[in-house]
Amino acid sequence: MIEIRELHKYFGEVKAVNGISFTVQKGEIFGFLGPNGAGKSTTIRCLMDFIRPTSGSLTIAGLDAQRDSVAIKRKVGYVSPDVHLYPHWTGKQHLDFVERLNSGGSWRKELVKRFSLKETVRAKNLSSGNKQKLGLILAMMGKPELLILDEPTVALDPLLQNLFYESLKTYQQEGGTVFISSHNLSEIERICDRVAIIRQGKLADVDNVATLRKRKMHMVTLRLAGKAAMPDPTEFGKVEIISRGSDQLTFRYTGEINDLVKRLARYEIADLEIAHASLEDVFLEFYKN
Amino acid sequence: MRIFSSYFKERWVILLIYVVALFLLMWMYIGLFPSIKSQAQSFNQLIQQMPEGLRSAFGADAFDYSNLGSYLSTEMFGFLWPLVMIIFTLSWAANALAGEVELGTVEIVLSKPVSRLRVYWERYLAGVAALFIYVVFSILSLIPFARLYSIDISHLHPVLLSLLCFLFGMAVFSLGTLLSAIFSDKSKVYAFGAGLLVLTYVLNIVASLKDSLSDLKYGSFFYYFNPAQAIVHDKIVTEGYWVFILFSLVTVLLGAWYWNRRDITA
Repeated sequence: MIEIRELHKYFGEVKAVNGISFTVQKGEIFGFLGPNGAGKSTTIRCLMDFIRPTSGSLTIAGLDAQRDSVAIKRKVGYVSPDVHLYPHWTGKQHLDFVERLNSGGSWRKELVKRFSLKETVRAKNLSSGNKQKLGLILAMMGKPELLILDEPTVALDPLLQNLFYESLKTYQQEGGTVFISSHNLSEIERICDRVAIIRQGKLADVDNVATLRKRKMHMVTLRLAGKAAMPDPTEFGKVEIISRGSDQLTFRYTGEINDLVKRLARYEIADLEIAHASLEDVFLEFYKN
Repeated sequence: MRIFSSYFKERWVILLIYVVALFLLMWMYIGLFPSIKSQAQSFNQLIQQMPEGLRSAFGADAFDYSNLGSYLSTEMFGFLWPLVMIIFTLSWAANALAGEVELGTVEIVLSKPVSRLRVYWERYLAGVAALFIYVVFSILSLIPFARLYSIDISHLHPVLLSLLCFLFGMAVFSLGTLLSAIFSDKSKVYAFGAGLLVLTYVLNIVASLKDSLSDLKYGSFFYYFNPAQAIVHDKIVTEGYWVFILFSLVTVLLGAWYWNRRDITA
């Protein structure tokens, strides 16, 4: 659905995006993960043809993002991190305007009902959460084939976030594709099938969320029986100590879990807890490297 | 024409305020004319004592306060009308593109199946329509008001004055649109637009003060914009048509070209 090849976008000396390539398949929810300033919004703005790439190619549904911009936007719904609205317009005026610009059908009624939007309030009087709701409805109401969402949940409360995630899942089940940028890891972990991690304008990795989580990274909490001396965890392999007490050791372990278990078997253990590292830990590992 | 109509609807109240204000101003000037006419000789003498450059600056170089056309072109169209028109057109142009980029609302339109050029041209046409209404109502209102005060205007040419004012307005509005396509900030459009127009205004005055600099007048809109010649003598400086039309065309096309290739980001 989306294909980005060797995308470069420079702002003078600043290399905001520096040669990234990846594809998003039709029907998947694809996460685009990275800290602020990593190049997520720049990439999305190139896809939306708000800004023009320095070099590289971007296609959506086989159409060139720049040359076929109008045709693409018949298929795409877009939400920006700070939804920009006309301050003096009501929600209804926004919806009417966008409905006239969109071609084809409309999910307006269903979405307004689902998100309980008050259409008569002027945008300047809406809370940031309600502005975001309106922005989501404006993006989704034209029955797009692809949703491009740039940190869409920043202003939503947890209840609305859940509603939004459910809406995305429903949208996916109906054949829609979602490209969502975020720095909220639990959000990505919860809704995405695959994820691309961007760091300083370069792609750190693209993988399934499940695979990333299984990156052989585990959180290990070890308590020894009796008064045995705590082992030096570096002997287990690649570890990072999280906390170390007289009788308890917590560390992050990267490597084969069997090797770790074999090494731990030499000790008399009172308690042992091994858990998969969160996506956040995996994510942080990327940034460290 | 959805972008045209939405933008026009959004700003029609502002247009109405300007039109009503100028309507009332015209009423005031025409209402005062009978008493001004009765003292025309002293007014004429007073104005004649002013330096030539100053008279030229306020459009009073062809003054005759016993003639409504000459009186209006000096009092209203020499300075006040162009000033208000410049504020109006620059504001309209600045809000059309730079204002939308600054506010971020341009993303609402550009994320829909609408090309950048369509946004540009529909917003431009909305401005042209507003300018037309502004010119027609503010100038042609002199006809009913003159009738109201039983003033003979059969020797005047308000339609030609309207054409001159419209062409001048188009040139200013097109300049504003070009600046609005370049900048992402309304205040820069106002600053650069007003700065350039003040510069051309000064050029015209400087040209009238010193013979050796008289050619500078050709670089000023205000040389071609001579309301007294239009309304009283049924004449527009021949080059005036072409200067205003060509300037409008070049600036608006440059604006379209730049708007279509720039990064649209606040």
